[in-house]
Amino acid sequence: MAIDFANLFQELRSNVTTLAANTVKDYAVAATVDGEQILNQLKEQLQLWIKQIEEGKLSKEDFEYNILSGKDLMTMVSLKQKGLALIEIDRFRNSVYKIITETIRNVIP
Amino acid sequence: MSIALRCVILGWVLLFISCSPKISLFDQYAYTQVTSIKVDALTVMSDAVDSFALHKNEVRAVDISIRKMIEYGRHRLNDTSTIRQWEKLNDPKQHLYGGFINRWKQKNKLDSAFVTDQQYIIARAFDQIAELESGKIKPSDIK
Repeated sequence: MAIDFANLFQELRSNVTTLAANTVKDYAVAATVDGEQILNQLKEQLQLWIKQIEEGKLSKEDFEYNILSGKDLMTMVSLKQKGLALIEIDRFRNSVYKIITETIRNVIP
Repeated sequence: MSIALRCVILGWVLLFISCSPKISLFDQYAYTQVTSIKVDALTVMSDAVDSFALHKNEVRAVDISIRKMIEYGRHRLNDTSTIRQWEKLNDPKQHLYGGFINRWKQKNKLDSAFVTDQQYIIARAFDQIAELESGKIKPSDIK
């Protein structure tokens, strides 16, 4: 039985394109939600620090240091997101490998 | 396109896909350590309302633990992101754990409200390392 390569490549292209689109979309949503969550938490902290200054519990110097800490925390989040993006690339590659090998296995007589 | 050419293309695609991963796989030891060191670090930070000299040993112990994790990461394949997180966290010139310890050393004692504020931020910083590690592909998931 001859292998229908035209159909095989068409099927592979279609499956991989769908996988790529879903992978990018899912990751982008997760990254945005994560970033917004941290920003909201820092916003709450900022309000607390302002209140602490007003109550005399926090010095201006310590407040400024806290702001810089918040900025460094966002860098940690960014490093995490870069790492997670690489993980998604690896997951995508693994999935493409599985798609190719399974598709070929199904068409080889 | 000829069959032979298509086979060659498929072969190259499979070869590309099977290249080494972009990032290290999940490591249970690394994950357990980050959660453990987080607790130790936050505990040490609580003592910053006291004189630094009284807590030098505990501070040193946490510093050694973090430096061990950086060294451990250097021997894992493609662990750059995690190493950079640990380095940022422990850097005395930055404003996370290493910066906090440096500030405590310089000022000898820190105010209670500031310590609590910093513990919140630094706990979230440790969480970023833990979340990256827990997001990594498990070796058992690779078939």
